[in-house]
Parts: sequence; structure tokens; C-alpha cells
Amino acid sequence: MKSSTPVIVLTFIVGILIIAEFFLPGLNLANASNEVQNWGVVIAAFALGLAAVNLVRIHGRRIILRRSEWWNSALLLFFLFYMIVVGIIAGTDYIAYEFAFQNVMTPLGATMYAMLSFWIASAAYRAFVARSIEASILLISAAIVMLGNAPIGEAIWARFPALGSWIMDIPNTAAMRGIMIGAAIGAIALGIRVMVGIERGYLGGGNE
Amino acid sequence: MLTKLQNIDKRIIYILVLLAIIIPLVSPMGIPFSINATTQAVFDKIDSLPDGSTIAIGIDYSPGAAPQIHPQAKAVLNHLFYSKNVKILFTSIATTGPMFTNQLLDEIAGHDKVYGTDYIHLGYLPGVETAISAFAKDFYKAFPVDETGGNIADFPIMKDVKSAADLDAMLVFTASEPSQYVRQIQGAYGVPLAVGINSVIVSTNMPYVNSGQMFGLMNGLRGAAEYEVLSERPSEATASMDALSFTHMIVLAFIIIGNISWFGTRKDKEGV
Amino acid sequence: MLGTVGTWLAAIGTLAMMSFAWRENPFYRAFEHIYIGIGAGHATVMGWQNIQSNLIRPLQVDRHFLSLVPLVLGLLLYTRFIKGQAYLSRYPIAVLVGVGTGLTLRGTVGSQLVEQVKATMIPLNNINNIILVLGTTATVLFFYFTAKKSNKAMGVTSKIGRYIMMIAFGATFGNAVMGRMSMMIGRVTFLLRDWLSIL
Repeated sequence: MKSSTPVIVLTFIVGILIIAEFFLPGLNLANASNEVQNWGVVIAAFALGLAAVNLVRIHGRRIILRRSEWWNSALLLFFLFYMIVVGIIAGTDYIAYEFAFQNVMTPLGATMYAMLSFWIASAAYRAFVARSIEASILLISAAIVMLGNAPIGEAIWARFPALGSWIMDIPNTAAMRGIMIGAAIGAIALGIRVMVGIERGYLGGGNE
Repeated sequence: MLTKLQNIDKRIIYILVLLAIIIPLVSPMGIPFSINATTQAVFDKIDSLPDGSTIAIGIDYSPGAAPQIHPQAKAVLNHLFYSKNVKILFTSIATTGPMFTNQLLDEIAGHDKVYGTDYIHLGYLPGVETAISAFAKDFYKAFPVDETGGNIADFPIMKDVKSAADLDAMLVFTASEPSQYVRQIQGAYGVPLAVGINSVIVSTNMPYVNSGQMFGLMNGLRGAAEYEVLSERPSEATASMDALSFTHMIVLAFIIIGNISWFGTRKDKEGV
Repeated sequence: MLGTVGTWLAAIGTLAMMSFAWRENPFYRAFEHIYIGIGAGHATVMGWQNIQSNLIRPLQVDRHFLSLVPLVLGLLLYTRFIKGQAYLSRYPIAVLVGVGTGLTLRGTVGSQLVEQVKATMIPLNNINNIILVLGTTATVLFFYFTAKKSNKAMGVTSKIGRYIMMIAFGATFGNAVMGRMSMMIGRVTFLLRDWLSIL
């Protein structure tokens, strides 16, 4: 039973059910579609544990083999199990859980992303050069939007916010709508390819 | 000189960015700012919701995006909890959403709204678009229990609400693409939808505002500050606006320096 | 007391992550590992809570035995860790992909195609409408008819498409600057206000 055919057939049946329920209400498929969507929710819930299992495998091995900086793996696993044990036994509103979320997870995650402010300032300096007509348009548009966003731009010239909004509302909307329509056609084509089994990239995971 | 300008140590840039934040935070100037039409539209719609309306609020951001989106959500909730009589269902499709919802509810405490009657926290549902579609179809099936573990059918707020079709509006605070809400909430049920999102995805979502599929949109920290001003509760986002101005000036200055040095040394490069 | 410990812990974590800007270092790596562990732990707990409310409860309270299907499928996901049995994990993935594809297909047609095309069917009676219609059309054509560049009219349209997209990408960059600076403002505000009590 390692053939891909049953898996493709299952994908097709589930997909067609969801689509038919919507476009052919006369078929009364609402209950079946609802049930299958709830299966999807439960399977997605199971999937949330996959990362933890994978991390235990990889970092457990690193600790056993005393690989370089194995203590970092130990730290990782300690916090992984801390959250799992406290969260499952006491719940996510328990003080020890909220403490870890608010004082460890939130600041670390927020700072990791905040570092992008440094990289974007550095990138603006090194790569944002008006080398061609396209690059010049890009640069001017970005500068106007920035001056429209920052209150100081408004202090320099009162019409910067209006100009920035105009760029967002008109030319930006035109281009993004063009891309959106193109992406929609692409997504529909990809969806059909997945349903009929031409596109099988998602089967890659279980190949052994 | 120009070659020197071309090789500024990146750590000097980082320090200048930090200073551009620290200095205006320590000694604020209070540069005034205007209100964007997309934020105004969110405020106007919320402000005009009739008493007894039911809305859903999706809290879908992660710690990374929280500095931009958490102040938006807080400003909107302050408006809703202190100036409106609207029933609110909190949902989430991000694993971190329920934690931020609890945090928000703690931060705005002091109102006279009652849990279970005026608002309810339905918790998190995995599956992203599948989750949105599932709860839009049937709140009871998707969220059999609320965040406190109670049967949702026992709460008065759920008496007249079965699916998204019973909602008067939905607001989503998210750091990922909100187009799935456009497809599964606005598109499928015609529920008026507005979003509070991080700035980087604003431009890709403007077509939805133009087409009326979103009645409004809040753009990052600036959107939060605008909402705070509109609801006459200036707070942390408003206080951050000077720092936002200074950091933008730093980036613009470096763009200018980068261009001057590039054009200044271009002849040397062409000569090589 | 607990609040102070929490603030100090958050401040140390913030500084550790920021130290990466100077150079990659062991202090940063330790906190990076902590973040991954805590994040994966939290996701697992959220998954567990959902299994409780959306699987175990319907089975126990409502005797909804169809819930045994996602129970089996969910467990099959973990066969990917068992040598020789990994192919079984394709079945739950097939259900997830089937539901996802079905939902995307039915939603995309209306929300992203019909509604967006409809919003472009506007009278060409002012400059903004002309830019909207021309810009949208030129961008679509840029992607779909790249092969016909030899045709002069197509070449011009393609160029308009390229320029209008550059305006949009510039706008995206401008907004990205605001977003990223906001995130750092959030962290610096925390350090100055909550930790150092300067503000």
C-alpha cells in the first residue's frame, strides 16, 4: 500500500466535498463538509506536536553524543518540557506558565524580529541606490511613503501624508491587484493540479 | 571621503538607530500627526455599531509582531469596552493568540462588562484557513468549550449566535496574511471585515480596502496611535511616534549617503 | 517580587538577542535555543488543549464516534518517525491538503478573482481610475504575456506594468521600515520603562 494512488484519491474526495458543498447547495453536503473540516482541525492539532518530537530526537541525540555546545540542547529540552508539563498539568493560565510566556517567550521573539530594524537600515544604505529608472521609481516611492508615515514628514510638508496615501491607494493598489489576480489564477491552477494528482509535492514527507 | 562614506561600519548604523529611538523617548517632542482614512474607517464603523451588536475579534499575532499589533488591539478594546455596548467573541488561529487575549483583557480591566454576557474568550483553533471556515460555519462545533473550560452553550452571550452569519462585523489583528479571513468570513458570509496588521503587509492588502472587502485597515504602530487619538485615549503608541519619526529620518539619511557615495565613486568603478 | 524577577529575565533575554548585532556569541545562542524550546512546548500544549476539547470531549460527552477518524489520522502523522511506516503519514496530510485546497479554491474564485476584477470595472472619468485600471491590466499582462515582448504594444504595456510594480514595491519597503522600527521601539521602550524605569 505504498502507492500514491489512494492518497491522491483521498485528497480528491475531500477537496471535491468541500467545493461541492459550496457551489452545489442542493446536494445537502453541509454536514459532511463540516465534519471533515473539523477532522482537519483535529489533525492540525496533532501536527502541533510534530516539532516537539523532532526537537527531542535531534537535541536528545546531541546531548547523548556530547556534541559541541550540547548544553544549549539541554536548555532547549528543559524549556520544551517545562512548558509541556506545566501547560498540560496546570493549564496555560497558571502563573508559572504565563510567567514563562510573558517574560521569556515574548521578549525573545519580539527582540528577534526587532533586529530586522538594524538590517533594514543597513540594507537601505547599501542597496537602495538609484542605479536605473526602475530603482529610482522604487526609491522615490519608498521615500514618499516613509515621509507620509513618519509624523516628522508632515511637519516638513503638510501634504506628505496625503501623497503617501495616494501612492498606497492608487498605483500600489493597481499593482497589488494585478499581482493578486495573477496569484489567484495561479492558486486555482495549483489547486486543480493537486486535486487531480499532477502536483504531488505534498507527498514528499513520508517517502522512505 | 566618498569612499569612507561608502564603508560606514554597520554597527555605527545600528547605534544611530538605537539613539534615534532612545532620545525622543526620553525627551518627547510630541510632533502632531494626521489620521489616515483607513484607520478613520475602522473607528467610524466601530463607533456606529448599534447597542447589542455582536462582533468577533481574532487575536492572531505572535510575540514578534506584538509591538506593532498589540497596541492596536488594546486601543480598539478600550474603545469597545468603555464606550460601546457590543457583544464580543474572541477567537484565535495563532497558538500565541489566547495568551495575548488574556493579556489584553488584563490590561483593559476596570470596565463594567461581564464575562459570558458581554464578551467571551473562545480560545485557539488550529488549521489556519480550515479553522476559520470551521468556526465560521458553527461556533458550537468548533469551540465546544471556552478558554475557561465551560460549555459555551451555557453562556448568555452565545444565545443568539450560531455561525458567522450572526455577526455584525469581524476585526482581525494578525501578523500573517488576512486574505483567508476575506475568503472565509467576508466572502462566504458577507460579514463586514477590518484588520489591524503589521506594516509590511499593508500594501498587499490595499486592493481589499479599495474593493470594499475590508471596511478599514490599521497600519502597524502608526495605525494604533491614530486609533488612540480618535478614541481620545492617547497611550503607548502615541508616545512612540517621535521615535518613529527619528528612525525614519535615520533611514532616509542613510539612503541619501548611500546614493551620494555610489554616484560619487561611480566614475572610479567605470574606470576600472 | 515575581514581577521584578520577570522584568529582569525579560531584559537579560532582550539584551542577549540584541547582542547578535555585535557578533554571534554563546550568550545569544543559549537564548535562541531557549526560545525554540519554549515555542515548540507552547505549540504542543495548544495542540493538546484542542485535542481535549475537539476530540476527547465529543467522544466522551456527545458519543460522537466519527471523531475516532481524526484520532487515527492524527496518530498516523507520527508514523513519519517510524522507519518503513512513514508512508502512512501521507493519509492525514491528504485530508489536510484536500480540505485546504477545497477551501482555497472556492474562496479564491469569489474573493480574489471576481471581486477584484469587479472592482476594476470602473468608469474612466478621472486620473485615479485610469491609473487603477491601466496599472492593474498592465501588471496582469506583465506576468502572463512575457513571451510576446517583441510586439511593440505589449512591450509598452509590460514597461508600464514594471514601473507601477516598482511604485508598489517602494511603498512596501517604506511600510516595512515603519514596521521594523516599531518593533525595535517596542523593545527599547520595555528596557527604558519597565526595566530601567527611566520613562
